[in-house]
Amino acid sequence: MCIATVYLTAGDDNKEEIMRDVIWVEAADDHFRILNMFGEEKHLQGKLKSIDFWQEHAVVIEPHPKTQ
Amino acid sequence: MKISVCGKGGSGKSVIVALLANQVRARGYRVLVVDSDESNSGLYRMFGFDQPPTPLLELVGGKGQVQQKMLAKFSSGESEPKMQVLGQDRIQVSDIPPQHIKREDGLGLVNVGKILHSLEGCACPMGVLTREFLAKLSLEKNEAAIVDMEAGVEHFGRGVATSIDEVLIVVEPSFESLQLAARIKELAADAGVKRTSAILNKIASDEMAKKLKEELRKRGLEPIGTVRYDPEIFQATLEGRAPRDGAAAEDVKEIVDSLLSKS
Repeated sequence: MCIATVYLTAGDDNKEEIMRDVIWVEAADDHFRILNMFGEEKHLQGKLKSIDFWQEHAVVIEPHPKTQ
Repeated sequence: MKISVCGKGGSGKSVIVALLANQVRARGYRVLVVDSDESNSGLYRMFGFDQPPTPLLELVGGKGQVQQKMLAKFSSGESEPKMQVLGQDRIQVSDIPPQHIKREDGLGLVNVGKILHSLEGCACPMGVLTREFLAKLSLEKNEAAIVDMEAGVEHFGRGVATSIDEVLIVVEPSFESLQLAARIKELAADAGVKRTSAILNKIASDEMAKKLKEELRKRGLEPIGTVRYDPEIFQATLEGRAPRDGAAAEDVKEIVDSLLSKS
């Protein structure tokens, strides 16, 4: 299936599902704007880690390291 | 009760959906038919409608314009009233906006969406919408939903079957149809579907029925009915009209008895 799920990395090899049925990911100034088919919108801060077009159709975003 | 009618392309799913819907309706149920076959466009004709309902996909802006409309909506901060029905936790048949449902005497017909243009892209949005719509569809005791599923098995990969009570596999007399029936049975079990059954369709003789039943049993499926080859079905599908009562409609009564006895 080509519609994506967006995840946020959460520690070693773990990822938290943020939104499924995603049709739009937009790099805004300091965050990603994510929309799904049903009108939900979320904003995530971090950097793009990977996009899996082949199997999981997953967009993985890694949070910025916390500053001290 | 939500029944999904599955099977190989050309096995007669849409005809069976129409005959089932008529018979279930004749038992006093209100029936919602969900046209989830993004390729075939003529299911509405089998119920005597002269136009299909506006696709449910239009509720999210339509596949072609979905991004532009949604992005415009988000940019302006405006809400899209039509989308609200899909945002509900539960959708009752009465919630479906009038242009998106054709109604007649206890029957409702909705259409998820069709691939209309070359290079339009894939049918995944239709699959997602079917999954969400069926998951949220809340039926009364005297209501049934019958889904005319796209041919093949891709819909299982999209999770469409997760809220289905019964998968009904239509098997025509061919090896490929039998093989696909066995595959659907496995996939339905993986998806957690409560019941899976098969029916034989376009059957020309008792001998053919006997042979196919044996083949199905070898594949772990027990057919709950046999629908004979019926020239009326050939004529109706050729003319693009609702099938009249005949051998096939008669045979479907027994199948409906079996389906309703388990609900």
